[in-house]
Amino acid sequence: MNRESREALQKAILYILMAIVIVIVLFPIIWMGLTAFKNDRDILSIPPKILFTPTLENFGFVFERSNVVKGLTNSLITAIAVIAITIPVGLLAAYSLARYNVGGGHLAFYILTIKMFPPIAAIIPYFVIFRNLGLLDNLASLILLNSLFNLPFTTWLLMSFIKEIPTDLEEAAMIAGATRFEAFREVILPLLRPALAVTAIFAGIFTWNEFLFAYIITRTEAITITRVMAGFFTERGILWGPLSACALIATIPMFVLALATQKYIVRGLTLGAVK
Amino acid sequence: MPVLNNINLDIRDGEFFCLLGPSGAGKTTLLRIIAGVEIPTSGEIYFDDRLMNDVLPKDRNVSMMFQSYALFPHMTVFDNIAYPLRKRKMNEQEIKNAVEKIADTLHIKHLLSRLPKQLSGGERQRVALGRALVIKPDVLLLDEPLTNLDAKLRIEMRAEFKKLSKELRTTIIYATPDQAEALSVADRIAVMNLGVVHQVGIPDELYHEPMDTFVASFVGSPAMNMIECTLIEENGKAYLDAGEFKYWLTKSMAEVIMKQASSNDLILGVRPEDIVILMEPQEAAIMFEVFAYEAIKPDAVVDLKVGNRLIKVLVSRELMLNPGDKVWCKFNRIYIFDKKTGQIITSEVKSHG
Repeated sequence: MNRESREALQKAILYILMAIVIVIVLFPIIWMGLTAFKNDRDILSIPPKILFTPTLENFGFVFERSNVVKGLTNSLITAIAVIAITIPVGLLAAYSLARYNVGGGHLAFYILTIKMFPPIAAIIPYFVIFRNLGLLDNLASLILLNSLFNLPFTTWLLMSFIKEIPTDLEEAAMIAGATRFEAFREVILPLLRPALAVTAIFAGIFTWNEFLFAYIITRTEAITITRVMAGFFTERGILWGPLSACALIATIPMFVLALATQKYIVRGLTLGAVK
Repeated sequence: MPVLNNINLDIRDGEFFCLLGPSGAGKTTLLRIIAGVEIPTSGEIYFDDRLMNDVLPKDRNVSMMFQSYALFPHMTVFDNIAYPLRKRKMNEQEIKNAVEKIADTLHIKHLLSRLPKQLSGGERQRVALGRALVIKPDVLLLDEPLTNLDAKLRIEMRAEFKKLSKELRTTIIYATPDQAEALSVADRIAVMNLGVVHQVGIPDELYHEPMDTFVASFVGSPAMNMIECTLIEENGKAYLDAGEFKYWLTKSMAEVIMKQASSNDLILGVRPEDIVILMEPQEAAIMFEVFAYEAIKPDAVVDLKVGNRLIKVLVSRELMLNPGDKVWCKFNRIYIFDKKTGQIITSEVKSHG
């Protein structure tokens, strides 16, 4: 076999393998999407049906019988609020850690270890605290908790991005007449835009998907979309149809967001913000 | 080990002063301390009579050109050069005039609306220079500005720098590891190594009157030959025993050496261009065997075998030699260094044609 055909064959094998992996990974989601449009019979039929007459009754059920609109709104508010808190705070902390090495490496490490802390271990104390303060079922409490647990992540990620930018640039700006803060605002910040976008998106997605805190801390007022979906696990059984429909509604915004920003996400994950 | 150890330098107004030394010498650190972005652990910096230690970089009226150029990637060439002027709150029309003027001088006027990533290395270098010069600084700091350029461009830019320095009357402090570069552009040079300044002087002084073995071997290319030897006295006469040959000393030289050297272990230094090769034996000439002959236009470098060492000699191309040939050498100028301290003891100039 000559070189060209060998390379073509290698490429074909690679694509086939990739296709297999993608199918395996996406299958549950595709199945969920199909299930959302099936009536009860089709959902539980054996063998599983791929072709069927679609119906919108599950969606009707979701909108009439659950708090889906409120859940979506609350999730959205929480995600945006968490981003609004963790990005500025994380950015300033990240800059101090990256440039001044505050805490001599120990502080940075400590922040990293908070990220490793399992939230489930903290949830009972938090519940007690919030209950005693009368702050249960309160969006503010949820925002607070999510911000707290996302802050180490945003700080750490932004710190890595800032370290990728050579200090030469800020020094050149300062020698040219800028104060430290001006150098930060005019030189570093513009270069961090992709980094900030990536960090914000991740923080947003983590908060949107968050279930544990929402489940324990909220009841009806601060209910989030994740909790709404949990509501379809009833004593009478799991309502697969409406559950799938609700899940579809919950995931579509994240899909769209990720698709729209995939260029940034890939760039942010693979390299720094500047070359 | 300190990055900079006990540096005392006096740089004169309007001077083109070079910091010359290999990597790790501390040149960049010294520049950064002068610029104010690095704070010394001890010591004072004065501009004229003003103590500058607590003055922020932005208030020092210095400009620095970084080895990496440090151009702002998200700004156009125009905005890069205009940045220091905007920080000084000049009005936009004045800024436009100043930027265009300097861009014209540096032949980059046609690049003003481009981004740094669209420029070649030489173009980026000139933008960095433009940004440094546009404010007419009191002190211009240049950190290895030519290192990233190809050889031809480097030599062109060397001449440009020299010309530029004559036109401006700014004090220029220029760091480089290239001794040829330093010797050609500088008024005075400080030779540094591992955080210590070995010698400060005009190029001629460093070349002809090195104070120690480091300066002697770092300045000049090909490097000075350093031959280890011992001072021996015999019947009222003294010579240097280099193992494979003897170098007889005059009485006055021997006296100076014996008075100043810490021991009888010495180093005999002789530059490749100070060795004369004769094809026939002569009195007081030392015989060596040719090991190699390298043509480096317009001259040639001959390697002579001395035991298991080599001495390099610079000869003209007309002299054809082959490995194994025997030649006789006289040294026009020699330097004697103390082997233990590395310091110069004395030197001697003869002329053998």
